[in-house]
Amino acid sequence: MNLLPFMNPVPHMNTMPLTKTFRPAPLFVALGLLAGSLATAGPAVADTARYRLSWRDDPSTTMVVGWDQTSGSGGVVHYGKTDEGTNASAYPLSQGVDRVTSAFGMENHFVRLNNLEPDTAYYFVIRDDTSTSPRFWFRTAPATPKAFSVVAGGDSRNNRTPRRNGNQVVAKVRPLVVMLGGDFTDDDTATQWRNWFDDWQMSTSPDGRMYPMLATRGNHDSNASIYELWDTPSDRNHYALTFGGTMARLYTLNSEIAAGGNQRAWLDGDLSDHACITFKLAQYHKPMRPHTSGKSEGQDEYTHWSDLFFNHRLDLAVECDSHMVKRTWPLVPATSGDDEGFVRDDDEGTTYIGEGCWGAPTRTPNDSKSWTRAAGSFNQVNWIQVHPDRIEVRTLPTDSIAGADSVSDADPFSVPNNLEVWTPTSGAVVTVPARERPDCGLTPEEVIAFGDTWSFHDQGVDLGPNWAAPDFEDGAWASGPGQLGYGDGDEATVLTDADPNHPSVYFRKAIDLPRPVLAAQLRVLFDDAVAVWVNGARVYDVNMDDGTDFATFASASSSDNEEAQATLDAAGFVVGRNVVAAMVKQRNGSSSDVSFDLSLRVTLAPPPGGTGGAGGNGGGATGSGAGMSQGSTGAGNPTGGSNRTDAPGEDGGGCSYVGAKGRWGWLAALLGLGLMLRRPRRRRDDEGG
Amino acid sequence: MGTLGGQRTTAWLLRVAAACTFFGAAWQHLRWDAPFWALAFNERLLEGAVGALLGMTWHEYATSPTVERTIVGIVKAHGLLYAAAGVAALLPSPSHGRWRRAQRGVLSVGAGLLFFLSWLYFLDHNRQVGALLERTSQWAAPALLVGWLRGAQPEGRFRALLSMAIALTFFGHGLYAVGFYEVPGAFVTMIMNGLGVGEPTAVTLLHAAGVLDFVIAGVVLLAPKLPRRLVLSTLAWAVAWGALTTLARVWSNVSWTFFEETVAQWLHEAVLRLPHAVLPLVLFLSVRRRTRPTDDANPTPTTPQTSKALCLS
Repeated sequence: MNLLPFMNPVPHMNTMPLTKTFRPAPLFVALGLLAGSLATAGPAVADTARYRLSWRDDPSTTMVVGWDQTSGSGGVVHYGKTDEGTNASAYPLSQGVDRVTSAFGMENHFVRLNNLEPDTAYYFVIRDDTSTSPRFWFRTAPATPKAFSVVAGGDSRNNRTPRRNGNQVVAKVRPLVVMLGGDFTDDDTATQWRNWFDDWQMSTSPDGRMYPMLATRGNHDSNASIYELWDTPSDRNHYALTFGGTMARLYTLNSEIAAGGNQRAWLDGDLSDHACITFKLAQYHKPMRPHTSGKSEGQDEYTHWSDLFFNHRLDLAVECDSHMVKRTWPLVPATSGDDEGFVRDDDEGTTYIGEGCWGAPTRTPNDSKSWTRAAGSFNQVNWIQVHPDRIEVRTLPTDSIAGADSVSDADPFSVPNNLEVWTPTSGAVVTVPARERPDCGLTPEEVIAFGDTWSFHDQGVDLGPNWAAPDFEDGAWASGPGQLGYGDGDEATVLTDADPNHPSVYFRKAIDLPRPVLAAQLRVLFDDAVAVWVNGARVYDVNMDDGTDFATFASASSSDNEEAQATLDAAGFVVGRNVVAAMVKQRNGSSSDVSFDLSLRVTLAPPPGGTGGAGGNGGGATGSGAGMSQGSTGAGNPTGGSNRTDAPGEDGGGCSYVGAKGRWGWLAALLGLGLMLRRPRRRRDDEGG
Repeated sequence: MGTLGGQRTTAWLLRVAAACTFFGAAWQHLRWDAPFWALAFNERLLEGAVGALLGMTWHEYATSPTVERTIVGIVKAHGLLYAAAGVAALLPSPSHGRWRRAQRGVLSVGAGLLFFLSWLYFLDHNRQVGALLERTSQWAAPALLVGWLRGAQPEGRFRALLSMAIALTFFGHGLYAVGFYEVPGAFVTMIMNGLGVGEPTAVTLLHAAGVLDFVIAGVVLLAPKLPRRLVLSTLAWAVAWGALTTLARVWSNVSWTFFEETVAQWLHEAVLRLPHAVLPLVLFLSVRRRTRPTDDANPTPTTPQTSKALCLS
């Protein structure tokens, strides 16, 4: 006997204030015990609560079902394409728990469902050893281009009434997925997170439909809370998922860790690898240019992401943190004629919306720019409809949600009766049309791979300054496949291990490129330092602060087989023969190992009469791939690329960075330390009176 | 404390440290913001009081433009107070007793407000004790200056308080650097930008620096029982590291392309952290001046008269 109502799986959520504790009178307790003892089948109360869905892999074939196991054990998700109510045994499929995290006062259980069918409704219950949950359902994402909608917002941390209102918007708008851009709770405590998930149950529609979350970390969250409560793909909390085949890719970025470094390298690579996706959207917490004056600028995000957004034509960015409302015109980064580093460009720009007021105190939008489309101050979420040929964004004030009708699944994109849509003078709907993808069809290809054969010179001889030049004679050099080195036992080619060590080893490799290079990505494995030249010009180095002369050692130690990535300046390559040269250095004369291997991926210009720039409108694009991506490898110190500020307005080629400050930083540190440690004089000036 | 010249140097350094913190905080409050919102919009803490005292629901309170304007006004008022305290820190000590007390009063209020600001940061950083501790030097600098201006305190007590402030600051900083709390992205970015290294190296360096922060804290607290050369070397590193982490705010964040905006956003962050380097320098000079071991056993008290004479110079 199941005492839970079928059509309202969370019956308490609209009827009882969540902050109050229900204290049954003793008579009701006795009656409850009696009823329990008379029950013949099934438990009366679920031992599971705080249900949630999330995605960590291909949204068309997977789903993560999560909950708090408040008591009992052995939870299993029973699911299928037919609604069997709460009769768990009737569902054809079941799966046990994949991950448990005891975190934030909850026993968070996660079941990662796989091999689901795209664009399909799945019904499920969670049954443990003593109880069965209400019946819920979800819909997987389509695997081919088909319109879907998103509810996006952020900052639900310290105004609970609008937080619940926003959750009710989700329940009524019935999106495919929810994007919440960080600052879930105020203090990241167990109590607040339990309250948050209690409130989140209000996002479940009355028919039991739940909506998966793409969770972002804000400054009031921790990496741990997002990772352990939402089962995100990694504890770094930056990841990307593709929806609708080649239709849209949603990026979740983490503005609370370094925007550059590993995250930038991953983002750049992933955007390149998915060049043909029709729409690219991103969410992150810290806005690049907040629209309230007290908030400091997100310079790190601007520096490391805005050029990638431009280079790869990101369509829509959802920012949070400031607790107000803003929309911009499409923007590209620029350093002349700009307002705070952006200029309007309707053809190639990224539209920015935000700034996070799902459930937070509001702030005045008193820092609008010349490119601001509209700004306001009220609690809201954004309803983003992604159609094959356009994105439409509507901002929904949440205070009036109680009187609104629900979206129907038969007509999921029409605004229902009484649903309030913000209508500034610039219009209620922001439309972002599909556009040409300049890098689509230009799939990067690996022209040098790990394991390829290199010519090398490891005899401890100084070859002078011209050894990296394209015409340097290396015919007498030895050769062998990567990994090259000694001391680790994993080398395919073992180099000379002299005593004392040779400071440097030389490597060269020639490649032929049939067409101009538009973009180039370097990945290098090294120990302890490496510098890379392309056609005689140094383009990258790490731990080479003491120079690249043969006799100098590495300026710092690396990890064993450390890897780094960098975007290289495409202008350094020529059509025809190119020579890539590398120098690897030891840390000192007694260090135990040396390692080297290198991968180079280039995007070549289309052949004459080719079809570069195809894509858009969701049709015919290739090379996108579905599923999840999240990065993990390191980044280094490109030295030959163009400076970021030169990039806006220029086509092709990536952007990279100049790390010249670093050497001065080291010098300043050593000088300061030396001054402080010098021997004290017998009398000091300040003791002379 | 040692010699007249040494006292003059100490007083000057404390004045500079306190003034820098006050002026930095003043700019922050007047141009930007301060985490008063963490207290004013603490729903769990204040929801009941808001209903009882203001007759408003939390939703009305949290979305009220009047409330927002009031908070902004309080932030700006604090900025003016900090500016006044910065001026007071640099003014020669007045000869008239009433004005001298007024000066010390302004500095005391300023030090108290800086402690309150540290507590607000503690609230804003999810009650991480490290956030409270790492700002100790900022409010301790004016507090030590007030004590110094009052005079008549044994050098041993002054040095103990100074050591405590330095130790807590570096301990708090170390908690973040070693990853006891999640290493802030801003720290990693500063190291990457400042030293031109990749992220893995930056994180490794931060962990190493965090361990050194703990070493500094331990050595500073145990200084009387440790070899003088070790203490001096440690303090020299503390001065250098404190200066580097302070200047890194400018070094790694100020952009020539957006010079005006980035200076406005980051210069004060460096200026108000100057005590992180100056207080270790004060202790360094104090320890180095202590040429005779009997100094600790027989501390020379500073008198109001000598303090006054020194501070007027």
